[in-house]
Amino acid sequence: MKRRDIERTAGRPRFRVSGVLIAIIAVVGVFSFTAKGFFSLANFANIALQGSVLFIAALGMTLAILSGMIDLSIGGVMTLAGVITALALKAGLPPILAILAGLAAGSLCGAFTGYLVSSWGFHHWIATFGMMGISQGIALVVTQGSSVSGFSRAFRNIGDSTIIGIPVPVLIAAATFAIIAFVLYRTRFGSNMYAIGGSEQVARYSGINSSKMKLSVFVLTGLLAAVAGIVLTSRMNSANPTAGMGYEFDSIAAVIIGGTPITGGRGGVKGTFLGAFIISILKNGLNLVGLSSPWQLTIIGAMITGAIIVDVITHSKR
Amino acid sequence: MRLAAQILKYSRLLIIAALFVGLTLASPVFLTGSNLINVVRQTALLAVLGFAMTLVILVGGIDLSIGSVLALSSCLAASYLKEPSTIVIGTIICLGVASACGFLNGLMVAKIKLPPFIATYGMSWMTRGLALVFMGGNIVYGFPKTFRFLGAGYMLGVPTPIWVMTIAFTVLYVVLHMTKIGRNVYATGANKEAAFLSGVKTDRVVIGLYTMAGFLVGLGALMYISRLNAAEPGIGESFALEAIAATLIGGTPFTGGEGGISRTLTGAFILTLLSNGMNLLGVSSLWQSAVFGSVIIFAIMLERISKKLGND
Repeated sequence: MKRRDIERTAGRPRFRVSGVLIAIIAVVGVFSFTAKGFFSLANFANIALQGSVLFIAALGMTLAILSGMIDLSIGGVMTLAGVITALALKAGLPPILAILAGLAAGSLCGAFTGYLVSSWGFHHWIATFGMMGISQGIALVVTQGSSVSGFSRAFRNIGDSTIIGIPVPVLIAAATFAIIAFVLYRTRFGSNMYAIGGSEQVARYSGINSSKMKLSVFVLTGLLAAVAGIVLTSRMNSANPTAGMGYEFDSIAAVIIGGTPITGGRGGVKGTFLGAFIISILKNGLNLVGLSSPWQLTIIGAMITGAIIVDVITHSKR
Repeated sequence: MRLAAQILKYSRLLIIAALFVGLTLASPVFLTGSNLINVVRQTALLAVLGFAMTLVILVGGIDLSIGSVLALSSCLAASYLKEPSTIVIGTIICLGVASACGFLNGLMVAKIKLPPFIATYGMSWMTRGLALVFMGGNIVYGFPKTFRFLGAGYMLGVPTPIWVMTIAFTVLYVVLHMTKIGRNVYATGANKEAAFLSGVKTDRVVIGLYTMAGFLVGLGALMYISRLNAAEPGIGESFALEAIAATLIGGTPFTGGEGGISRTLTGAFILTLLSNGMNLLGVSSLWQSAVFGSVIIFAIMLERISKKLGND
């Protein structure tokens, strides 16, 4: 499939995207009047910072959902990768090696999930749910349940320095986005993802090795979760053994709000950008309005479930 | 090959036997009356939650919200349960709230056609959030004796939770295996389309099962906070993982239409032995989620292998 065909099958992308844009403008408008300090450059920079971690994780989730799967282990893998990197730094490894260790941990988690799905025929929900328990559990065990914090300047630069005025996490998110968009829209690997998401059977008949594809998709989501986890660790200057909890849910929401249907085969990473953006604005705004985090949990949970319900209803009526 | 198939068929009994022998040898405390009563008591709670999970897994669903729904229904009912005069109201609130959450899950899955993982995961975040909001950082503790009887008391020398679990088991067993409702449940799980075409109101079956699962979670909530003697919004975080592990290791496959609650009872026993053993051997409780996650994966591998051998 060529890029144009993909976009044509992507189901009224312009309409959906503009819907999200209107929602973003509305939310920004409301918070600008109700939340003190919301409409300021410093706060927007803050939103961009918070949003980058979610965006990177959600890019991985987009690939999974596009291919007709879901990865519930993203939060756990983020945590584990962050924790491994942190422990490696504490053990005196240079930052680059510590980061590689974290990335390797994330990819390994993804590879194991992918192996279960492609070689053992596990359903992707249950395989990734099991991995969620395992990665979260290992993170708790290796840290003995407490945070690992205080890193060298070199590592902290990832999270809190700027290059020509732009925060490094934002640059990392942008670079990741560019790479994933290239892979998705310009390579055969990318169009194969759409193919197995659309119909695995048809994809297999047309000569795509679907189990190899699934394995690769899970390795990629694991790797991206690890990137997100490491950036988060650096920004917080601490690896908390529950830091990633809930990111899988926010990522699913970012993907769905961004117009990639839960059924797979359509959509793309551009919408996910808007989805991640709107969720970050919501969280930031609710915070500034002074709603406590339990309220945020409830409201965002309800809104996200609502968005998914709307998505499923609109897609089933078509 | 046939021998291997036979071994796999009885693998659950073998696992239980191995755990029993191993733990008896490894820990002097394991084979004592008080520890075994403890194991049985914990099995009862996990079994009730496992039954809830099994019901929805039977129709190809899942319920990730059981831990959070347990927390919410406990928190909403706790202040009533604390006063001896309002225990009945508290019980009704607890069971009612949990059933209502189950009903909503059922609606989202059957009518709106949300994937069950997503619907119940969303429910899980919302109910956990509501529980936190409602309690506002407080904890309710110190329940009256009449209520504590449910989780910590004895009847005719047997811990009360065992009685509760036995009643739940019997009712569910009769409904699932001796009534038309039960046949409809298995038919819907095996092939929803075919069941629907042969006149089964599959949507009602699914909604009914999620509601029933919610009710069982409410029952589990009462048992749990009665034993804990406290209610707070953070309880039950690992219950969904445990209940899924108990169901799958018991031998009810994730795909639905097969298995049942008697298998889950075995599964709950295995899992409880495992965590009791880890406790006795001084393994940190931090290991639990990694172990339960691995049990889930191991259980499915076991099922795949036995299917393969069965076909040969």
